[in-house]
Amino acid sequence: MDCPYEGDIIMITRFANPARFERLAKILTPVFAVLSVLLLAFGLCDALLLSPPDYQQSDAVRIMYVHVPSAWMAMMIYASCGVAALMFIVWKHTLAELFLRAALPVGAVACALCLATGMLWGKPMWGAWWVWDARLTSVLVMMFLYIAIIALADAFDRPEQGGLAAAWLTLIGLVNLPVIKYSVEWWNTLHQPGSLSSMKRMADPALAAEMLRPLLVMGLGLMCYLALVIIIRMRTQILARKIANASGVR
Amino acid sequence: MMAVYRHFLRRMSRDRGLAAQGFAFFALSMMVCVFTIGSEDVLLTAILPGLAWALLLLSSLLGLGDLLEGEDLDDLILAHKSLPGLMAAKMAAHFTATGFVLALAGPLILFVILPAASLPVLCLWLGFMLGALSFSALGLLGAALTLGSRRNAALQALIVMPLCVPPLIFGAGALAAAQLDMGWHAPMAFLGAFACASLVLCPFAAAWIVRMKVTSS
Repeated sequence: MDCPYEGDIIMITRFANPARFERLAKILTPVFAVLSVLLLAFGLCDALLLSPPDYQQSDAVRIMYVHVPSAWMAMMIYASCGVAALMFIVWKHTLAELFLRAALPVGAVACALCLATGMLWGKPMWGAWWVWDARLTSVLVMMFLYIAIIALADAFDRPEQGGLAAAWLTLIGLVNLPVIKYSVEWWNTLHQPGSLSSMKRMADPALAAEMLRPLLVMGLGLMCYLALVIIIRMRTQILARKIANASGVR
Repeated sequence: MMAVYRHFLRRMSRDRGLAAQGFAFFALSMMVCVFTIGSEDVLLTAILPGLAWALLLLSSLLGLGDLLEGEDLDDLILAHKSLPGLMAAKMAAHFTATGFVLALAGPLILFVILPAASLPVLCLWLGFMLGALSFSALGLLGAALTLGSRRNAALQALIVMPLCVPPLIFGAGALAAAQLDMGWHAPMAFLGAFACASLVLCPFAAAWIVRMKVTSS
């Protein structure tokens, strides 16, 4: 019992227990539900009605309040899947695999939303639905990675092998995240650089406060909503496995 | 390791005629492209070399389906202590049977079809070699990931193609620059760096994945 990493391992395994997760999820589900409704309702009103139109883009700038949060979420979910993949590979925690399987399609939807709103925004502003600059291409690669990982996870007769393969591909695909983040700085892209891309810029954002407020509220709201969906999907999978185990069918 | 390499290579070329098949696939798709684009020299000179890059990627996906399947992996792992070495031998065999042949012959086909003066010879050959090496390394990774799955071939294409985007962009970028008589050494250097990194890292990653799959079964 005098393992030097005991503390760390206990902290990780503490939440890796499905029963404890179930208890936590029961509390978190209504919290995230209420938060996401409130934040998204306020954020949408603020974004669509209260915030000022852009001096160049006029009302088209309001696409940003969906586009940017969905881009954040697509990357954040991928990053969290990377963490879960590592935990599954190293410690074989079932809950990490469940998270991976629950979160990947949600991340894929966020990524698709980001691409779709980006295209809707690109047509009036750039004159084209799609351009092949580094930011758009790297996000498209992330979309295909999401699809490939989801397909891989379901392609095995034994689910645990699918989970393992998907976890590995998730880890390999993590290389793409910094490429997305810095694509607007490394290459000369048509896509504009981030207005909130670092802590320094967060303190002095290149965005008016009336626009920053709805953007951050929408970001938080979308985060709460997607977290809610992921938790519900995880609980559903736990239930499905319980039923499968109880009826002896695997 | 050389014996393992020779064994794999013999198996791939004897059982499947992989090199001939890959070459035929490459040439046939090139022909289909010419039919659909039209056979004007100016148009083909502009488009075909870039298309050849895409076809190189597609053709190097060919041998992946049974790169790791079809033999007793447990036996191989027991017989050879170094699994990364084994994976490297597989990768080398795949490269020799598909990528190497295409990297040599692909530019030749271009020379036959296009007016030769317009082609950047060195850039084409070097780029195809480095590109094919990267594709084989990433293909090994895809084969390791899909080992034991049901829908093998389609899934491998789905996995390997997004990973192959960086070498494809660097290689095609170098080619486009060379065609415009601009400096192409910078993208070629990036392609070389990518090829080196993937050649070193992919056998180890593939070995980890395969070992985990074998031990977890």
